[in-house]
Formats: sequence, structure tokens, C-alpha cells
Amino acid sequence: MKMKVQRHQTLIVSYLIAVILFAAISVYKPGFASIDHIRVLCSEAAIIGVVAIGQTFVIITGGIDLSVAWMVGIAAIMVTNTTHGLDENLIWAIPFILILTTLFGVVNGFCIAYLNMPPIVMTLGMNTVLQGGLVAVTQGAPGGAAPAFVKKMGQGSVIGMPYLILIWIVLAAAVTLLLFKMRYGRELFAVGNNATVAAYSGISVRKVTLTAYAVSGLTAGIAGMLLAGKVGQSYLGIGDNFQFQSIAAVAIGGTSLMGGNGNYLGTVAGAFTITIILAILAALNLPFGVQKMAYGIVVLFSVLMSVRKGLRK
Amino acid sequence: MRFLTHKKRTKNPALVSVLLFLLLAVMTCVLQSEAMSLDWINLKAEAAMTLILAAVGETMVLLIGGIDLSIAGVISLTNSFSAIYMLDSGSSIISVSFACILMGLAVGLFNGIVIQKFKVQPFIVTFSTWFICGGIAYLVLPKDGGKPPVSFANAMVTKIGGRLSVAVILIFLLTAAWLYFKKTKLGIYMYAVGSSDKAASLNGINVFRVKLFAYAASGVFAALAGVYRTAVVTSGSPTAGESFFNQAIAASVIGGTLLTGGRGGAVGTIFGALVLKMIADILVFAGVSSYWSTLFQGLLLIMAVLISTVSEIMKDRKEMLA
Repeated sequence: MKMKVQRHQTLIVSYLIAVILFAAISVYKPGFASIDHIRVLCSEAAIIGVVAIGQTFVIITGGIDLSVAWMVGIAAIMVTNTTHGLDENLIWAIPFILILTTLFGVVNGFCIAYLNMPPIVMTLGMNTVLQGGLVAVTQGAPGGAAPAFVKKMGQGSVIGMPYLILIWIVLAAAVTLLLFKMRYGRELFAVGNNATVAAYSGISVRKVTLTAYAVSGLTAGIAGMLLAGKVGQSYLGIGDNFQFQSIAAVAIGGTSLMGGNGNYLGTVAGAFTITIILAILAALNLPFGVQKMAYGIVVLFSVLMSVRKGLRK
Repeated sequence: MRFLTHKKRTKNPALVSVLLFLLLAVMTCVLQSEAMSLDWINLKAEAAMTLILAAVGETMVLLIGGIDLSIAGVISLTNSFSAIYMLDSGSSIISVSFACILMGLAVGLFNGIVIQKFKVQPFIVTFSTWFICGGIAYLVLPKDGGKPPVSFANAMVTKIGGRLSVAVILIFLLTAAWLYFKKTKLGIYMYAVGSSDKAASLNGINVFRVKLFAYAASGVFAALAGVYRTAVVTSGSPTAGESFFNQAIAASVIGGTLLTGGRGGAVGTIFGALVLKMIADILVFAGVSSYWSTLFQGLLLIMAVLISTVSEIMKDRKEMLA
């Protein structure tokens, strides 16, 4: 039992941070802990959580994906623009969007794994290309309303349970299975731990790395469509916050940014922590500048904590 | 005996960017022959100067094998700060500029110390400081504006001897300073640390101090870029620096600096920055809509890095076969 507690220490700490933050602000603002508000918070955390699936994969390999911001943005804008807000167009639009964002991820992964591009530069460049491409194609004025079905997924609920949370739970379960029970998960950790050793053990390091970036594109695409549904429409820059939030969620969740270890359940806690911090900052009516600073400080501290733990080991 | 027959890499890494620069200069001369004049050169140098300053700082961090994203935040911060607090008097201009430089220095030292003491990857630390500085910039100046003194703007765009602007002189000074710095002990140490910090450390180099110097220099150069932007644009913006990280990396890489450290230099970077600006000009001249400019920026960054990494792969392959 004690072993188990030790092994899951990071995970427990991650959840504790979220719970403590939530409890503290609930005392200060009684409305914060109402069922309705909790539902709102969960829906917000769900979208961060879905973007962070791919980010977790990429970070486990020791990389980073800064292009999620505009992959989310492109998915959100395309699901409103290409469908003209009509449900019947979703039949081809959803697969098309998912294939497109996955392809962006594949391009990232290919350049990083096969052409030795530094992940940070490649994905940042990709982010700029996607931003520029979208602005150019839409002439700077995209937008439009989300189709009814997408809206239902983003806003509706079944027996009091928002669809967003159901989708998140299903995805989280699938990801946890993939990471810990399947061959690909083991290979992912091996690559992040030591790519040379992994290669000598017969793992195709390049393929595994490429796949991680492809997954990141896929989950960013899913999150973007859900986001458009939740907001009800799309606009330029709709995904901008997710670049930082997804990385922060992963880091707070105890996944080392050096790669090689991590747990999606920790990322879930990280997504909640970020959402709660955001809600607190909004509730305290702090100016945008303070919010931005707080992000920076929170991430720095959580990263320093996770690194210290690694050093002690 | 392979190491004796091994061909030394004598090719100057800055060469590509210098050639590109000359090529683009000739192209511009042909395309816009009526616009060519000393004034035109002055204007272009002024337009490129902010990027040059930011990119030279970034190059120093790249040389030691690190990366500094916080330059974006530092530029936003110092640009906003100087646009708001600078008054129309010599002492105010000097003291505010000095304060900005100190801010940049503080951020750089913080980056350098945290990265090394806690053994965190440079990008995540500088990513955080980017956001912290960007946040402070918003607090200083919530939206674009500010009224920097006209005398400061005039001083920065004044023509020395009635011909060459300050920016052109600065470019020459920076080039000369770098060529001198490269040969100093610290300069040589920087290349050594970038090539292999283990080997450098075994040779008695204080790696910590060398890396700290690089991050501090990057912060100071970013601050200078922010203050210079205030003079040229005559206003401040809390998002002034956002695009500079991309561009600084692109300028460095086009200038022949490797992201893995140990190779490159500021002269190449200066030409790299000029090349970037000239490409942007040619796009405008060719009538490409400004909507496409962001796309080209991103593509240019990827292409520049791609060419350098692919050529490294080819070189390794050739060496393996040899």
C-alpha cells in the first residue's frame, strides 16, 4: 500500500492542488461550488483536457507541440464555415477536419522525427503557418454559427451530465488504456526515456514520435469542434489560449517535460487546476495582465516542482 | 588517423546570408531603381534595427545551445514601459532607457540562473518568463498607445553628418563589436560551451558563468530592441514583441547559426535579419496581400531551419561514408 501511495504521489499532489484551490475559493465566493457552476467548470476543463491528450503524448516523447493553438482554431472555424451551420454537412465535414488536423500533426512529426527539426521551432513555425494560412484564406473575417449537432455536443447534457464531460471520460479511459495496457504506450515511454536504448530494443523511434504528433493533431481537431459547439460560433484566435493551457495542464499533472514519464490522469487534474485558476482570476476581476503573469508563474513553479522530484530520484 | 584527414569546416557560416543579401539587394535595385538612395538605405536600416538587436541576443543564447523565448515578453515590456514613462528631457530619456536595460538584464539573469540551477529545459523557463513579462506589459500599458518624446524619436532617426542614420552606424558598430568579441576569451568560451559543455567544463571553463552571460546578454539586447522600437514607431504596445521570437530565430538560422549550439555568429544574424526584411519588402512590392505575410513568416522559419538540419544530416552521411 505504501509503495502504491509513493508511486502515485505526483498524481495525488496534482489532485490535491485542484481540490485545495477549489475549496479555498468556495469559502470566499459561495456561488462557486454550486452544481451549475461545477458543471460549467467541468465543461471548460474538458476542452483543455482533450487538447492536452495529444500534448501529453508529445511531451512523453520529450517534445512539445506549440501548434495546437491554431489546429484548434482551424477545426473550430472550419466546423462553422464549411458547414454553413447546417447539420447535414457534418457527415463529410467532421471526418475532413479530423483528417486535416491529423495531417498537420503528421507533418510536424515527420519534420521532427525524420528531418531532426527541433520540436519547439517546428511546431511554432507550423502554428504561424496555420495562423497565416487561415487569415489569408478567410481574408481575416471568418466566423459563422455552429451547426445544431455540434452545439448540442458543446452545450447540451443528458440526465444532468454534459456531453462534453461524457466525451472526455470516454477519451480519457481510452488514452489511459493505450498508455498503460498497450504496446504503443510502452513504446512511447521508452522513446521518451532514452531514444537510443529504445532504438536498440527494436522500437521504431521515428514512427512512435511521428504518431505522437499525429495524435496531438487529432485531439486538437476534436477539441476545436467541441469548442465551436460550446461557444456557439467561431472567431480568429479562438484557440490561442490552448497553446499554453495544454502545456500547463500536462506540467501541473506531473508529467516531466524532459519526457519519459507521465500519466494522463495527472493531466486531467492539471486541466481542472488550470480551469479553477482561470475561474478564480475571473471571479477576482483581475486585469488581463495579472492573469497572463499568473499563468507564467504557475507553470514555472509546477515545472520546478516536477523537476525537483525527478532530481531526488 | 581519420581526424587528420577530416576536412576542417573552414566555410564561414555567415556566407549564405551575405550572398542572399547581395542577391536581394540587386533584385531590389532592379525592381525599384527609382527608390534607391542613401535615404532609402537609412529607412531600411531603421526598419530592420529592432529585429537585428533582438536577433543578435537570441544568437548568443543559440550559440551556447539554449533558446530564449522571453525576448518576446521583454520587448513588449520595455516598449510599453518606455512609451509611457519617458518624458521629454535628456535625463528622463537616459534614466528610462537605463531602467529598461536593467529589466532586460534581470530577466536574462533570472532565466540563466533558473535554467541551470534547477536543470530545466531553457524553453519552458523562458516560455514562463515570456508570459510574466507580457503580463506586466499589459499592466503598464493596457492597450496600444503612449506618447514617447519626439526628441527621443528624432535622436534615434537623426542623420550623423547629415547622411547616415544612427541605425546604419549601429549596424557597423555591432558588426565590429562582434568580430572583436568573438576573439576574446569569453567569446571563445561561448563557442566551446555550445559545442560541448562537458568538454568545456573539463577544460576548466566556468560553464555556468558563460551560459549566464549569454542569457543576460539576450535580455539586454531584447530590452534595447524594445526601447529602439519606441523611438521608431513612436508608440508602445503590450504585444509589440509577440512576433519577434519567430523572426529572431529565423534571422539567426538564415545567418548560419545552428540551433544545437557552437556554430554561427552575430554577423550572419545581422544579414539574416536584413534578408528577412528585404523579402517582406519584395512581397509587398509584388502586390502580395498583407494577409499572406504571416504565412510566409512561418514558412520562412520552417524552411530556414529545415535547410540547416537537412544539410547536417547529409554532411553526417557523407562523413560516415568517407
